[in-house]
Amino acid sequence: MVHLICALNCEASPLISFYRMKYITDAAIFRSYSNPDTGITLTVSGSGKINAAAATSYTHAYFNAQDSDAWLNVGTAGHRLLHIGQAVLAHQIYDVSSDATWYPQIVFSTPCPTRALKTLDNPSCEYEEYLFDMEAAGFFAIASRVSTCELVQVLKIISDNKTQPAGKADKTLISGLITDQIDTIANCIDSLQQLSRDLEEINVPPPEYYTCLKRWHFTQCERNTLYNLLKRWQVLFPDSPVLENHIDNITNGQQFLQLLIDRLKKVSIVF
Amino acid sequence: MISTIYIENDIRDHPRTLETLQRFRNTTKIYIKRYSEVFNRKSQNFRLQKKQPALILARKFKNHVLPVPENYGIGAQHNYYFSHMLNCIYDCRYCFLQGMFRSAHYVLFVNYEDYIDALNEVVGRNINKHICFFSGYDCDSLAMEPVTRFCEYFLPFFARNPTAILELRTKSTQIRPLLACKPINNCIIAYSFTPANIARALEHKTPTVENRIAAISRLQQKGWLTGLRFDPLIFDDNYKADYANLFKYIFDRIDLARLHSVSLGSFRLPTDYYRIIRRLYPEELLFASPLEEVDGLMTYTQERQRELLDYCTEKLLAYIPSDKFFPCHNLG
Repeated sequence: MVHLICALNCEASPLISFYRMKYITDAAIFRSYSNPDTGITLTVSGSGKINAAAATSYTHAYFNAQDSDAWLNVGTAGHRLLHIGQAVLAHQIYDVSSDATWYPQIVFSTPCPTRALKTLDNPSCEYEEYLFDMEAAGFFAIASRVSTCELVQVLKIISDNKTQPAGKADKTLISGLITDQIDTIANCIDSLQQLSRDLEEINVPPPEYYTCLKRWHFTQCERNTLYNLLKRWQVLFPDSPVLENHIDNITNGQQFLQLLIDRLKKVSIVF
Repeated sequence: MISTIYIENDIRDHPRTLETLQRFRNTTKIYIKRYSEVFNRKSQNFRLQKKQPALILARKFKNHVLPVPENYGIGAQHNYYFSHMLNCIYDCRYCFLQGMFRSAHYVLFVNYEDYIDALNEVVGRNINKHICFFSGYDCDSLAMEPVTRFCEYFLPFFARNPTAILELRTKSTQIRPLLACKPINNCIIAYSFTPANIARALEHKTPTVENRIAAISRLQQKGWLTGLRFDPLIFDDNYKADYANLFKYIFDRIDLARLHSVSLGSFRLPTDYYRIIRRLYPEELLFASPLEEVDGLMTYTQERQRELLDYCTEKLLAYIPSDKFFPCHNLG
């Protein structure tokens, strides 16, 4: 899954259309959209880092997000020189008010340049070499707690610069900027989806784990042991499901764990 | 290849930083306060980062030279290690670095001059004693040589201090700088090996066993002393044939007269690191193999360890005299 967080409806609407997302009527606190077929959700946070942090946290809870899910903050930003419409990934996020810094780890081929970004509490036209925005730090602070830094990214489209300073937000203009960079955004989402799938695959419980939990009682400690033993079984006997062929005379969970331990001691190892 | 370089502000003008950056003109450069704010951060995934590691240029402030753990050594009275780098371009599944570090980025400490001061201090404290310095604990000594120019800087120190031995431990064939300079007798270029089938399964992105042997031959011909490191020994059902063939292959091709030492040790990982690595690579046959915890280390059963070590020891001693043999294990 990839969870998108946008500050404004006008930033979100091109993405909602592109990914054919549906409005979720029972998501009461923040406007949320999703398309289960594409594995993408979108939440509109409102402006500012507190809203961004709250919306990220809400999205995590509402969609029951997993450790392997990816997170992308899509929005607009200012910069001294970059031209309007340029897409940029943030490689450093600096929260001016708290003096905290984060480093999104970009482990895929980037579809656009990367820059350092400052999150401000208020709009500013005193442009620098940093991107200026008002949400990334709030978003990143929360998303990097619920996922790994490689799966949390911030993608901004330049909406104002020294020669065209920010004024009152023009919704049509902002939607147009996002629409014009939809391929870049989609490229980034594709990369994150692939990484998310890679991680999900690694973390997937062994196939017979839940069946065992239903069949026998295990303490929490035994569950952990069961998980690890079944993972090993999966590697060593990929074509021999343990529950199909090996459980005659097993009447409880402890006996089953012992069976796994005994069988896994005597395996053949050939690299 | 490296697409991002993090640079500590403190060493942004250090000559080695500038020289390194010259090599990577088209990379993204990100200036940071301390390398730890990137490298040691929570919520990082070593396996994902290994897809595209960044380079971090940093200063090391203390502990430049440290004593090695017990049971390590190749004959010297006092043994130390130093790491000008953390992490490695290779991706060996048994490597403890995957469990020790949260990040797969390569950290290069550019303040070599401070390492030389520390080495000088240790040598000064141990006059007339045999001391050995190991450089390949937290990285491969040679794999990043074109970037680090480690040999160029450190070998002259050891040339001036012949009682101090330097071990460069490596799997790399980046030997041009060594071939280009005059060999020194207190430097050992020590190559790590596992049998070819195990190397293919576990030592990702490394030169083949054949290429490593070819590198050893060239170094020996040039006059360098070399070492062989069979650590970790990896068990598989055919280990006897695999290791016998590996030893034969190697000793048929190298010059025993230019062989300084051979060492071996069983596969072992600190339990905490093992748990982290197993979570990163649950599909890995090595970690699905029967292992047990002994004194805070995950390793083969005592019986299997002894079997492996005894067999390999016996085979190796058929090729080399016992005074060149240094087992790195203690089975009690």
